[in-house]
Amino acid sequence: MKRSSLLLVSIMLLFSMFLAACGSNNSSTPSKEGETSSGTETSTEAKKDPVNLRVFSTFGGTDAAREAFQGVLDEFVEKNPHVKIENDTMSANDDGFRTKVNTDMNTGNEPDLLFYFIGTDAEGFVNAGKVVPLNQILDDNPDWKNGFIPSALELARQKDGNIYAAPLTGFYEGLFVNKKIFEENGLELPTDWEKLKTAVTKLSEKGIIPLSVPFDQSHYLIEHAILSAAGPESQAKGLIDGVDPNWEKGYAAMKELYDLGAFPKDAATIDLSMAGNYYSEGLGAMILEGSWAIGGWSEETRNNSTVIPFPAVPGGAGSGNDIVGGFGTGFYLSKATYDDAAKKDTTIELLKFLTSPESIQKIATANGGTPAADVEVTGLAQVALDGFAMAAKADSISSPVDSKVSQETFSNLRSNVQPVVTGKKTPTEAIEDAKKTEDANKN
Amino acid sequence: MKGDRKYIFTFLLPAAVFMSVFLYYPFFKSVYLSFFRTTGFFDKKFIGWDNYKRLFTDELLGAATLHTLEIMLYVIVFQVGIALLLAVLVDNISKFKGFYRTVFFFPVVISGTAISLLFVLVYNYNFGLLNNLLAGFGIEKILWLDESNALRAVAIPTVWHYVGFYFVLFLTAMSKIPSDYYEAAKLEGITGVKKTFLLTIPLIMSDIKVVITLAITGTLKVFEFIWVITKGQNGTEVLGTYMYKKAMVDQNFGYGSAIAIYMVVFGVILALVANRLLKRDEITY
Amino acid sequence: MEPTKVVAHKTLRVKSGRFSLGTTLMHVVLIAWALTTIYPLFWIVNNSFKMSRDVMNDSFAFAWSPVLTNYMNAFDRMNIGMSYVNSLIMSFSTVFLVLLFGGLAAYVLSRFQFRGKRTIYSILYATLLIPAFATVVPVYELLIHTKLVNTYLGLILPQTAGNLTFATLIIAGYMATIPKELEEASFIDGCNRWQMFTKVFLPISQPVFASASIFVFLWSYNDLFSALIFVNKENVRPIVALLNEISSQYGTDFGLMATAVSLTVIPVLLVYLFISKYIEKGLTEGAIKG
Repeated sequence: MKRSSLLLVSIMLLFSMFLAACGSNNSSTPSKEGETSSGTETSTEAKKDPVNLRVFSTFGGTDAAREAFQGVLDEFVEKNPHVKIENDTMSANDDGFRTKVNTDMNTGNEPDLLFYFIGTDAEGFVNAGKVVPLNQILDDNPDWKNGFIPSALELARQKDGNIYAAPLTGFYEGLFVNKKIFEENGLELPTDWEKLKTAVTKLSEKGIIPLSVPFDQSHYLIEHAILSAAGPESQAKGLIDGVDPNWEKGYAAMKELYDLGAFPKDAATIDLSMAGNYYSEGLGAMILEGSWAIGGWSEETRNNSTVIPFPAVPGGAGSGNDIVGGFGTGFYLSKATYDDAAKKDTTIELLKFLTSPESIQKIATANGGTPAADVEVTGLAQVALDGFAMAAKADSISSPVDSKVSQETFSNLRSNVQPVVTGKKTPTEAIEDAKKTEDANKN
Repeated sequence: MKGDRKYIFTFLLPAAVFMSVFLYYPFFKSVYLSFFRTTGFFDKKFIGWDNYKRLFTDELLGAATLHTLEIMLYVIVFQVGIALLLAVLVDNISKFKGFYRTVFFFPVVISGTAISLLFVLVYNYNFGLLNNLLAGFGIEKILWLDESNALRAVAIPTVWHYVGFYFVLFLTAMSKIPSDYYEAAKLEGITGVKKTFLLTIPLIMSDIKVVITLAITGTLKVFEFIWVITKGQNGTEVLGTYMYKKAMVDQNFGYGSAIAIYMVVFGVILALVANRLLKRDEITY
Repeated sequence: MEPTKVVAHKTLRVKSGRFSLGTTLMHVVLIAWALTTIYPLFWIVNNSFKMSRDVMNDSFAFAWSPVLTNYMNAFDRMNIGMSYVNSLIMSFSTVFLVLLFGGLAAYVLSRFQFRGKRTIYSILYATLLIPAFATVVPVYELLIHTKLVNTYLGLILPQTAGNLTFATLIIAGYMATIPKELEEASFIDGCNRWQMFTKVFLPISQPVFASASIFVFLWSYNDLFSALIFVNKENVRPIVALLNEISSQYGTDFGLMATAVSLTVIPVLLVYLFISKYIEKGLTEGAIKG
C-alpha cells in the first residue's frame, strides 16, 4: 500500500523530531548542573567561576526602555565577563505575568533579580520571605544608597516598613489636555470643576469627545475621581475600616460628567488603547493617563498636550492639587540567591549596577519616567516636563487606589462605573457593593 | 474476543496516565482550592462551601450563563449548520474541491485575537468599517455594540471563525462513506438533496454527535472574542470571561475554581442531554 | 486494489456535474463563503506592511506604500528561524503522541464492549471543559519540580494531555462506523488486537487521523499562554511567543501584531496543505476496498 508507506515516513519523521527534542533536552541539562555545583564552592573562588543569573522583568514587548535595559545588562557583562545573564521578560499587562512570577516564587524557581510591582501585588511573596529586605545592604553601601532620591526609597517601602525593591523610574498620572483643541474652542484649561464642566459641555456640543476614557478599563478615571473626591488621606485608608461618604462623591462626579456628554459614545466597549487612540488622533480633547502613555501618541498631539491635576470635586476633600504617582516597580533580590554564596555578591553587584544613577538615567530617558536618582533626563517632550513640574508642585502624591484595596474590590469598582453613570445604580450602592467585596476578601 | 480485557487496559493506559498527570491532578487541585478563600498565591483560608453558595447568589454568573447559552444556540444552528451545508456542497462538486478546502480553513488558522481586532475595527463607532459605509450613504452612525446588539455582534465572529473547523470534520466523516453506496442510490434515482438527507447525514450521525458535543463544550470556553471586542460589557459577559476575570484578574482562585467546576458540571449535563436527544443506534456500514 | 474503479467513478461525477444549474448555484454559495474567509487573511498580511497608527485608523485601505519596519522589528526581536524549528519540533511531537495514544484509546472506546464505557465518555466530555486557566499553575509547579521548565518536553507533555480528549473523541466517532466484517475477516486471518489496529483501523482511519493532526498541530502551535509560562527561554521558545512582543503597558503595536500573525500563520497553512491530501476521498475509498 502506497499511502501507508507515506504515512509511515511521516510518522518516522515525527518520531525523529521527537528524538531530536529529547537530545537537545539532555544537552541543556549539564549546564544547569554546573550552575548548581558552582554554588557549593567557596565565595573567594566564585569570582572566577562562571555565574549564571536570571533577571526577570517587564522590559520586553513594546516597552519603551526595552533596548536601554538590554544595553545596561550588556554593559555589566562586558565588565564582568564571567557573568552570564538571562534576560527573561514578559509583558506586564499580560495576566500570565503575575501568575508566572508568583508560581516561580512559590515553587523554588525564583529569578535572581525580579523587576515587579511594589505594594499589595508583592505582599504575598514578601510576607512569605521569598525576597530579602534591602535596608541593610543599602546601609552597607552608602554610595549606592545615596544615588537614590530619598523620597524614591521612601515610596518603595512595603507595609512592614522595609524596602524590598530598589526603584528605577517612577510615574505620575494626570489629566492630559490637548491645548490646541481648547484654544480653537475658546476654552480655558480645566483647572477647576466649573471650567471642566464648561469645557465638557462645549466640546460635546461640537462633536469632539471631551474626555476619552473607557468604562471597563476605567482604572485612571476611578483613581482620579476617588482621589479628588475623597482626598489623599481617605484614599489611602481604602475601604477596609469603613466607608468614607466622600468616595461616593467621586462616582457622583463621574455621573455628572457623563450626563454632560463627557465620555465617548462607545465608552462601554472600547479599551484603553482605543481611548488613547481617540486622544492621539485628535478626536478627544482630554484623557486621564499615566506618564508612560506620552510616547505612544502622534507627534502632533504630543506637542499640543499638557498635563494638569484632575480638578477637585466640589464638596469633596481633595485640594485639586493631589496627584497619583509613585515608584510602582523595582528590583527584588530573591532570598534563595542571597543565601547562595556563589551568587550573592555578583547579584548584589548587578543590582547596584542596574539601579546606579547612570543606569537610571538611561532607562528614564528611554521611557520618560521620573528617575529615582537625581539625574537630568534630556530630550523629553514639553508635556513630559510639564508632568515633572506638576509632580514637583503637587500637594500630595498618592499611589493609585487599586493598591489600597484588593484586586477583586477594584474590579468591582470598575464594573460599577457604567451602571452608575447610566443611572442603574446609585453611587451609594456602588461603594457599598465594593465594601462588601473588600470585607469578603479580608475575612 | 478473548483476552480483550488486557488490550482494553493497555490501550487506554497511556492516555489515562497523561491526562491524570496533566489534567485531572491539576484540576483536583482546583477543586481543593474552591473550598478556600484565596487572596493571591500565598494566603488562603478554608471556608467550606461558601464559594459554592456564592455561585447560586451571583447575579453576574447567572447572566453570564444565559449569554453563553444564547451564543451556544447560534453556534449550534449557524456554525455547525453552515459547516454541514458547505461540507455537503463541497462533497457534491467535482472541481475546485481542494481550493475550497484550503480557503475555508483560513480563519481557523488565524488567532482569535487577530480576528477580534479586525472586528473591533469593523464595529468601531468613530471610524469603523460599518459606520464609514453608512457615512458614505449619508446615514447616521450606529452604535453597533450597544446593549441591544452587542451579544449578537460578538456572536458573528465567534460563529464564523470556527465554521472551517467543523467543515473539515464533516468532510472527513463523509470521506468514509463507501462510494458504492452512492452508486447504488443513483441507480435507484436518489440524488441531490434527497441523497443528502437519506444517505449522507444518517451515515455520519455518529460524527455529528461528536461535533455537537465539541460545539457545546467549545462555546462554554468562548473567551477571546468577547474579551477583545466588548470586554464583557453591555450584556456580553460569558462564563469564559467571567471565570478569567475572577481567577486571573482578581486573583481569587478559590471562587475562580468554583466557577470552573460549575462550567464543567453544566457542560457535561448539556452534552449528555444533547447526546440523549440525538440518540440513535450506531450504524456501521 | 482497484484503482481503476476509483478513477472511473471520478470521471463519471465530473460528467454529470458539468452543465448542471445546481452545480453553478453551489459554486456561487461556496465562492461567497470563500470571500469571507480569504479577506481576513488578506487583511492581516496587508496590515503587516503598515505602521501601527495606520492599522488602527485605516486598516481597510490597501498598503500602497508598504513599510517593512514591522518585519525588521520582528526579526530583530526574535531568532525567527530558531523559533520556527522549536515550534515544529514541539508541535509535531505533540501531534505524534496525541495520535498514537489517542488512536489507541479511540480504538478501544469504539470497537470494544465493556462496562464503564459510558462513564469514560462522560469523563471525556468533562475533560473537554476544563479551562486552561484552572490547570496552569499546578502544571507549572509540576514542571518546575521535574526540571522540565524551558525544555521541549515541558511544553510537549502538557499539550499532549490537553489535546488527547479531542483527538480520542473524533477518532472514536469515525472508527465506530467501520464495517464489522473487516474486523472479523482480519480476526480469522489470525490478527491480534494490536495487529488489527495497525493493519485495519489505522489505514482506514487515515482521514480522521489527518484532520485530528491538523487541529492538534494548530492548537499546540498557537498556544501562547502555555508557551509563555512553560517555555519562554530564548533557545526553546516557539514562534507564537512573537505575539508577546507586540504589547506592553505602553500599548499595542498593531502593525507588529499583523506581522507576527502573518509569520505564525505560514507554517500552519503549509502543514494543512500537506495533510489535507489525506482527507481526500479517493484515498480512503481505495483503502476500504483493498
